[in-house]
Amino acid sequence: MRKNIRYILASFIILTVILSVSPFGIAATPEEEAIQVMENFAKAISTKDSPLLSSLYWHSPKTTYFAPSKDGAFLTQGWLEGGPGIDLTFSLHHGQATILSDNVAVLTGYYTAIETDPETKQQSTDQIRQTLVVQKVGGKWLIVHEHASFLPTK
Amino acid sequence: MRLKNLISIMIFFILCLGLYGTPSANAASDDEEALQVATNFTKAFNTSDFELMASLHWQSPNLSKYTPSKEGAFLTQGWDAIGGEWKTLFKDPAGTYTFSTHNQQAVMLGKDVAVTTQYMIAINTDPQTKEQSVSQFRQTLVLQKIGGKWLIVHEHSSDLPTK
Repeated sequence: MRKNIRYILASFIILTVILSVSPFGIAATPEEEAIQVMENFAKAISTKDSPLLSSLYWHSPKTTYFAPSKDGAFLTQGWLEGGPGIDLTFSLHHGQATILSDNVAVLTGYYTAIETDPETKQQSTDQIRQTLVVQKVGGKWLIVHEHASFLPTK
Repeated sequence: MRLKNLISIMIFFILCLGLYGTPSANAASDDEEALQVATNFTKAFNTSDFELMASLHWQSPNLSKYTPSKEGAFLTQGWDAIGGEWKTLFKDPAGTYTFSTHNQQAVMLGKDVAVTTQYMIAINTDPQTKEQSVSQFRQTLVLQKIGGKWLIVHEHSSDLPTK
């Protein structure tokens, strides 16, 4: 009887270990994987991590983006190396993903952007809406189109 | 010899007719088909044609859009809500809004998904005072080929930034 309990306990522990290390146990859903792009976008801007920001985009002449500010009012085409230059803190809200096919998804969300003036240290806040179209290229979700705009107030 | 010539000419004509009638001879490319959706979007807006506008959209709860106005600042989701907004907008008298589309382009993402981008100039005529105002928009349409037809699955329209 005691031996039986030992076997049951041992089997239970082995099963738990197998489940916790199996890919199924830790695999993210396609939606979660895609949303991670938005989270990493906010992280890259907030930490001024240019390599991280660059790694999120498809480096192709077909990549396009509309930015929220006057400087990016018109469509930018093709990947332009560069990175976050000003002191910005981005936080993502209500990120959501719609998976369109095995390798294309549309992401939508809002960012609260806090900008700190480097000299006066004065802070200002903006709210931004963002659409990201991401495509799985080489097993990785990459941004192929971005449309970011300030939250309309009128 | 004459018969041989006649037969050659007949074969040539039959071949020409065959080529002319095949779908590949007059079929639009995927890019052109996708851009036609953006063109029809503008047409539906200008003519307050709800049926045409409805036919361009994926009538699904997963459809979503951001519009340039305060009322559409936050994501509107699902055809029921989006279709309702179009119905409300199209109650305005014909000619209230006149849209023209500029610099349309399409990027294909595989066989059945496309992203179109364009600029729109909107002339808004106040139905009562007849006063006109002009707005400039940027628009992204994400399209998916569903049942052989390109449909809007997401729209992001925003004012052209001035600051």
